[in-house]
Amino acid sequence: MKILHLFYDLMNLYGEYANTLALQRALSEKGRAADIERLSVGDTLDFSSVDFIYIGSGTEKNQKVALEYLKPYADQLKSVLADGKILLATGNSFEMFGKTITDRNGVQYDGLNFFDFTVTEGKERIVEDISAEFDGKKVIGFINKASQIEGVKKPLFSIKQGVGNCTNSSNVEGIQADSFYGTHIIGPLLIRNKCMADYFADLLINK
Amino acid sequence: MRMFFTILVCKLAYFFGHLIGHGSSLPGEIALKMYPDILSKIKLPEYVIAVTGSNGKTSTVEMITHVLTSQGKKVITNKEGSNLDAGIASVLLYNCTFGGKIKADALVLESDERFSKRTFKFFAPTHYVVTNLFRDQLTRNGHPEWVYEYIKESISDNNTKLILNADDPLISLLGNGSDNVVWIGMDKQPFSSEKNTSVYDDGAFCPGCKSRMKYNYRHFNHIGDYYCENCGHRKQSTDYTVTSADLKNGVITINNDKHIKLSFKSIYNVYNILACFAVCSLVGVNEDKISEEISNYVLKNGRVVEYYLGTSDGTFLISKHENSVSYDQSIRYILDRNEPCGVIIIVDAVSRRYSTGEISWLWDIDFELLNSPCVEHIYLLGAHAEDLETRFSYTDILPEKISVMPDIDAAVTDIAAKKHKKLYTITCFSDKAKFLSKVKIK
Repeated sequence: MKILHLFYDLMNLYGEYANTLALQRALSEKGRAADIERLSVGDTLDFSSVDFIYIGSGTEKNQKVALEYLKPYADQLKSVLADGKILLATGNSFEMFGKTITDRNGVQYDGLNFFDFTVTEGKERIVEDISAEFDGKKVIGFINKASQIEGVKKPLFSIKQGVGNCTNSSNVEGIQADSFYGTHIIGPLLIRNKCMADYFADLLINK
Repeated sequence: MRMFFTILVCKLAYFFGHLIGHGSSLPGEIALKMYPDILSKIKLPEYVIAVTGSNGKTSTVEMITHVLTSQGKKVITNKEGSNLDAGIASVLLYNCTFGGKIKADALVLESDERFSKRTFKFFAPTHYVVTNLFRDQLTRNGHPEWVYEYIKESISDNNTKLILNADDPLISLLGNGSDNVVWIGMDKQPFSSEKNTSVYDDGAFCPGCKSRMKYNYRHFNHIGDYYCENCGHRKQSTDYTVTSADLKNGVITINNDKHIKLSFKSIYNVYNILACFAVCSLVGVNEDKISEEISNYVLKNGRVVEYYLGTSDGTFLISKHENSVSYDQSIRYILDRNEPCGVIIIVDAVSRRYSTGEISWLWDIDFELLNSPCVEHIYLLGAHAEDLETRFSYTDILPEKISVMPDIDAAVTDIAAKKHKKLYTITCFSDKAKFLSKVKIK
């Protein structure tokens, strides 16, 4: 199997690379070997040969660079997701897949438009320890963002403690639609929550 | 009259606060409420020297204060922990006359990188040192680019002379459009490398235009000689330069001329000394005198403590939790000594200022470096010992070389019986006393 770590050197805050290692280990414990491929700005992207795509947190500026770089690949990415390939985007990387991102100075960027939500960045940081629930299991971590995310139809987590997508829906966090998973929870998520690493490993194995 | 009264209240609050052992920010808070722009009315000394940045603030301020004091100057400085706007207001008002005059030759201030813009709203430094920007306390700071915006907003007066680390590409952006910059930096050294040697690379992209950035060499992490072929952002030629740094023998040379001996042989210390040298030279201290005063200077801020545990000699190295570069530096220091040793790592309380379970920063530390023949055993202590164990399980270090000991007291007793000839302890201020109270300080 192949795990693609996309924008490994651009969206690389908060030790997020370890999510790919945790998934690789969870797969190995279940008897499946996985390679991690690392691609970034400057590389030609081909998603056809990978099974799992991971993108992590970055600075607000780096997120815009990643977004512009991904735009020519949006259709290709959409079609491999429709084929059932799994994408996990943590931190502000999942914000790229919405309709728009408005930065702290009011400049608006078009998103990849996979989903209808909109993102508004502010001048204050939202930082909090998180306790959430997924599939009846407890998930812990931390949120470190400067954004409000509005209009998510199907969130990934219910929040027990801490902030959610936005002030108006603070009890839910992230997004899930078919094989797309997005969350602002860092930790790294799959390191601090073995249940999440196992969940994605099982998804990949039973695909 | 209003000034007189505010200063009186501040002085009284300071006096009684100290009697009952309270911190020093409250008097300033009260004063700023009574008279919000009082700091713009104060008559400041000829030199107002400020130091900000992620790492090196406290040490640099201490050394500048030492050099200036040794030359007979009267210096007022703030103690670590009172580097926010209110803390600085406390220090200023406590030390001024009721007429609002600070009777000193120089103010030397450590300023928190996010609060500088509030501190320097009402008065501007004459000399403003920005040391570096690293991933530091990201639970409150977000990330270095986020902090950069705060520092940028804190520079408002063209008369302020900026003393900038030319080797830090992000800090160097602060010099854009200013003709009042003094650049400091270090030439290529034997320990400089062509490639990034850290777990992550914050120098991969130009902080200005976000194109891929190139390096001629790096001293560590993103610190080095960089250039961007797209926008032209590059390391500036330096006015004060470490032309040679021999970390093994502990001697550095500044501007090919002034030799300074290091009491602590770390690259960090070299940058702090360079900043101190530049500032003191700029305010007119004879450079031979600076070199003399700073040679073999032992910092009094307790960053390095020698101790005994059982029959072992120990060295305690302050690192900062939530600051991977400071851990990497401590680890490199241990490896440079290259003697058989046990290494104790303590992560109990992530911060002394706030409560959090955020430990993603453990993944930014290059613990793989400890996979070295000179490291006999590694002890992981404190409430986050198991998180450390998970982190180490992703290195190639053999599990039998690692002990997981959440209970610090019990662990110290156990380690005393192991009879390592040499021990190193790495932890943060928040966990310092939990260890040092159990050992014998030399």
